[in-house]
Amino acid sequence: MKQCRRIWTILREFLSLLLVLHCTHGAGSPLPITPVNATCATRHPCHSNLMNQIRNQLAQLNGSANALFILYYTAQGEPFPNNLDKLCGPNVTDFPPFHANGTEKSRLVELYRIIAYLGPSLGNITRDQKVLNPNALSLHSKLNATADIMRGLLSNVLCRLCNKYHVAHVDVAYGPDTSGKDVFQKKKLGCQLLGKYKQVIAVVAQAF
Amino acid sequence: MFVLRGVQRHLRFAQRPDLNEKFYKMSGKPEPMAVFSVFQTTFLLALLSLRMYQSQVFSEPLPLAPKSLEISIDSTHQRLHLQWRVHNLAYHRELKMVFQIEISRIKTSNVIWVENYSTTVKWNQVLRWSWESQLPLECTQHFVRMRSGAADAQIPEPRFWGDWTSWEEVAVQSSLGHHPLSVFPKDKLVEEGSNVTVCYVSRSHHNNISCYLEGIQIHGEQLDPNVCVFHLNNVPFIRDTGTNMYCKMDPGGVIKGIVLFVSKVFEEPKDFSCETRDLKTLSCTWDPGKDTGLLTQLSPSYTLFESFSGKKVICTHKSWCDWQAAPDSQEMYNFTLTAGNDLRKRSVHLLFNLTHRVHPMAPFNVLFKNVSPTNAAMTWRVHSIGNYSTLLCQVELYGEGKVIQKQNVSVVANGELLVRNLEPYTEYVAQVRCAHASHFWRWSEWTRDNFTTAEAAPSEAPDVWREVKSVQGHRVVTLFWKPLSKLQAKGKILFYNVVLENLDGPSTMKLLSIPAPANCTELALDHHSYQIHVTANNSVGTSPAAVITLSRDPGNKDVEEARVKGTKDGFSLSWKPQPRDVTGYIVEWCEHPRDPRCDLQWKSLGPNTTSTVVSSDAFRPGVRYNFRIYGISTERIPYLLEKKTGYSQELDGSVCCKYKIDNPKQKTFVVQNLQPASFYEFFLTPYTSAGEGPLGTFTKVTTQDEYSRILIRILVPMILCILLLTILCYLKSQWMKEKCYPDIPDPYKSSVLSLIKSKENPRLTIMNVKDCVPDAIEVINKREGARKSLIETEPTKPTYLHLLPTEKSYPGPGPCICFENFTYNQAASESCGPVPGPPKEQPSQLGLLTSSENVLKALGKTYVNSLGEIPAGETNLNYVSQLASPLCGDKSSLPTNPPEPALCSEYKMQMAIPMGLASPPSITPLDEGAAAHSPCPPRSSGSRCAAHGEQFAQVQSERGRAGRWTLHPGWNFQCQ
Repeated sequence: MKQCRRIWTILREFLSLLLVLHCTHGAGSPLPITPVNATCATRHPCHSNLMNQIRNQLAQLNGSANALFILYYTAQGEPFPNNLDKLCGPNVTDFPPFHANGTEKSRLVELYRIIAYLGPSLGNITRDQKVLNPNALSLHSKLNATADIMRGLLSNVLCRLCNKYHVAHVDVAYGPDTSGKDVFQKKKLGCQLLGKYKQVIAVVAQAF
Repeated sequence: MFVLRGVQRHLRFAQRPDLNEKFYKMSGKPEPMAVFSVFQTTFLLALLSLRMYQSQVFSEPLPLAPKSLEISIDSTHQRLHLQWRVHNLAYHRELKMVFQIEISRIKTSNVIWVENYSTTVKWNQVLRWSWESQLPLECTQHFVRMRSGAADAQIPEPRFWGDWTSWEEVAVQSSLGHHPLSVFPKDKLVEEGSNVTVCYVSRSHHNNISCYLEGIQIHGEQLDPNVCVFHLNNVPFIRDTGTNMYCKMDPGGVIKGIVLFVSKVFEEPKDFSCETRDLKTLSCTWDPGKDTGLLTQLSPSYTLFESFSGKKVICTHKSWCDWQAAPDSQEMYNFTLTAGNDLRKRSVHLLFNLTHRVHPMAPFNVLFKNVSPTNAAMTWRVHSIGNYSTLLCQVELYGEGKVIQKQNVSVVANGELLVRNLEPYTEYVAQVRCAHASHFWRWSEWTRDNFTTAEAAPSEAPDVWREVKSVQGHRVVTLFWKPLSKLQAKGKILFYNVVLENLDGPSTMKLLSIPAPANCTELALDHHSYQIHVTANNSVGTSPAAVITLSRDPGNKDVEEARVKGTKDGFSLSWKPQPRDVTGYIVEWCEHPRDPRCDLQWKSLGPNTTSTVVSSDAFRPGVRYNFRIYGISTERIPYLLEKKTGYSQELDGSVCCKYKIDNPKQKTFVVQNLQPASFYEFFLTPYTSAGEGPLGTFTKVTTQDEYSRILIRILVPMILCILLLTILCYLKSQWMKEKCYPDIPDPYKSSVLSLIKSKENPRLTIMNVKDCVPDAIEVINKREGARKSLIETEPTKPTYLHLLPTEKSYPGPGPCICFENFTYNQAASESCGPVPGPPKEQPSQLGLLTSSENVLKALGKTYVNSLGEIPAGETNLNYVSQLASPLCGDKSSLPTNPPEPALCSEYKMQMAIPMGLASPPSITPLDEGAAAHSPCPPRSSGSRCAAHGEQFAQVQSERGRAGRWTLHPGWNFQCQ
């Protein structure tokens, strides 16, 4: 009986430890990689010229990234425009990597991760800026337009991965949630992310 | 006292079995300890008994110390929240206590706040107190402690403080992480005009940190080596997106910042008012005032509280709120409107009686009944307000846009009003609004409707006149009448009745019914007397008849026509009063006298009137108008009294012409056959079958003078021709120059020079102008025989050939001396006159100088012909130039470097050829040189002609490059 209790106690403490460890993962932590061998199926047939569409979308994003970056840091006021290296440097630590010399499949997987990372981050930035800079309509418009293109790109990349490479699942990570941060930090994180996005999207667009 | 405290502590220790247990465990000797414990307990109980006795005896207050002090931190609002309990308080006992709270900053000895907090403490009550720090709590650590004392009146003085609690440290800094630099407070929200304290905290005090607000560096005070504090006083509102304040750390370049949100001052609601429209719902409204500028961060809230009922409503709109009234149970209302945001709360109050705030709804169902020509019954309904509430309604009647009647009516449910004194066949607008009759608060909105009164029979007879013409023995009578005014017609005129009554024959009447809107009719009548009755008719009845009588006598008696002068106001007419009875006067005229249709007008005047002013827009300047003044007898027979004629505006010496343009699409019209240099005025007006339009603005035109036109016709082509010639001359100036005044040849460019050079004679000398003898030619060439002696011996005195004739020696009518340079510029010589060119062959030219026969031969061949073409009597001289010989020119060189005779002879001689010679001139060769043969004697003895070749050449080179040589009669030759 005592042994049973001990075992039960050990099990309970182990489960508690597991629970604690699980709880330490914040919203910004990458999701656990769960390899899924499920069959890949898309709801609608993919476009025949999918890669071309992906290239065009990347070119479109690359073409507007710098303007978006400038609009953003200008709207934040001083000291952002004059301290870009310190406040808007592309030092986002958990940003998904991209290897331009990889295979098409690996590049598409990495692109998927990047877009999946950027999508919610752009959503956070848009939400914050609507509160912090309610009159910066041009910035809001450009943020929304970029997010729209990213949604389409994500769908296209998934279609390509599914159809050609039969990849049904890609583990993704998300950027930090800014909802609990102070306003200055929100501005800074947004600026850093857009700086990183501008840098990365140029490489990605070139790679495709 | 000290002892007693110690006892108490011992007591507490004794009362804690866990501690005792620990104590026993630590000692490891239970038996002696148990004995000791029993002894101790006994001792303590004894002491407690003693103390209780003492407290009862001395009434010493119980030291009720605060316990379980907990401090929570509200970083956003920079507040410390303290909560604690008071132990040892008797069950169900209440005690007034005072708690002294001390707050220190950085270290415990640095007390920055001391406050006594008095409250009534109940048993087991949790006490709370909070404190707001000006400095952000993250900037440095704070320490809190407190002690208590009794403040109850039951406890007599002196009262004593209890012990201090231990210092509780409030260290927010520990949660900051390991950032090298932090700035506080984060996202601070303040009102404009507030003071804000900002700080930065750095991990190392070795760094150089500078802070900026709105891009401008600010300076603070060092709180400790790692903390710097900035006091921002009276902060202004800058923008709704906040103000960035940041600090930059060097080295490293770390930038940390905060956003400071400054709002405008939250204003108190204005014009707070409540009213009801049905005694069931109260509608409260207010003006929220100016926006704070930070609506996202500071959303205002509005709450309505009624003190009598104790009810509260959270308003969902920022300027109005509805409240369910209870008219049966509550009549008085005392409202408090509380407006607030995170920074400020504002309240306004309103006390009123519900029945005094009734704003009725607009009346409805407005109707007009029994509408007659002059009256109408107006009815309407009102929304009920409570039971039997009386409303006061206001009715306004509008006619032609103006208020013509205003009445007040008391109404309970249905309103009714009889509107009187209306005009027949007139449209009216009536509007009604209501207010509470007992306690006026506010009028309702207007409700309006319109109606038209019924028709009545026309009240006035039409104004009638006639025009009588005699056509083929019959009378053609045109009967005119003017339409009745609206007031007179009292309805829509449908037709006019014309009744003809023959006064001379049997009593017969003829009725003509003429439908409206006709205003005339033509009647063919015989020469009997007729009485004509004209009436206007509408749907209700007939107007009184207008009567006019046509007598048998035409009544065209001779009346002298008088002049009348028109003004801009019209024609002022007057006439003599008639001795016999008249019922009135008629003034008649044609508005368009030049038009065959005439457009007859008349003006009816009363019997006592003897003057009037006739005005019309149709009157035109320069048009003569004729006026006839008739008197109307009692028999209604008109008879002519006076004639007047005149112009509304006379135009002096002007003639008025009228052109009719029949094509309405025509846009231009040329007025021909106008007089030159005359002033005209034009105006254009459209016309229809009804007549002409209003007088337009005159356009003034002055025609041009006829002579000036002719002059222009001549002068302009002349100027153009001259201009053309000038341009041509300018363009062909070079050609003109060559043809008319060619350049005098430059001796330096002569081929002779090249010949000289070819002979390698370096001594080239040019004639000096000062040696020039203008009226004599120095003969330097001698006869061939003497040439050798000239070279070999000293230069002899030069022989002069005088060019200009003296008074004695000049025999001819007009000398003409021609100098010609045969060396070159043959074309120029030819162009200037009929002088032949030089001999083509150089040897023969040279030979000319050596042989007088050759000279004569050459000249005889050329000059005779040329001179023969010059008209006799002209005094012009043709000057034949001579190129100076470089060899002969330099006198000084002559002895040393004598020229070759042949070279010297290369220069042609200057010769004067009298114009008057009919035969080949007897030209004396220069080498023979006799001044007496010269037709042009020297003007003065002192002057000499440039016979020396070099002198002559110099003059030419200095002055004559672009000019030419001329020789005036009776004067020296000169260089141009």
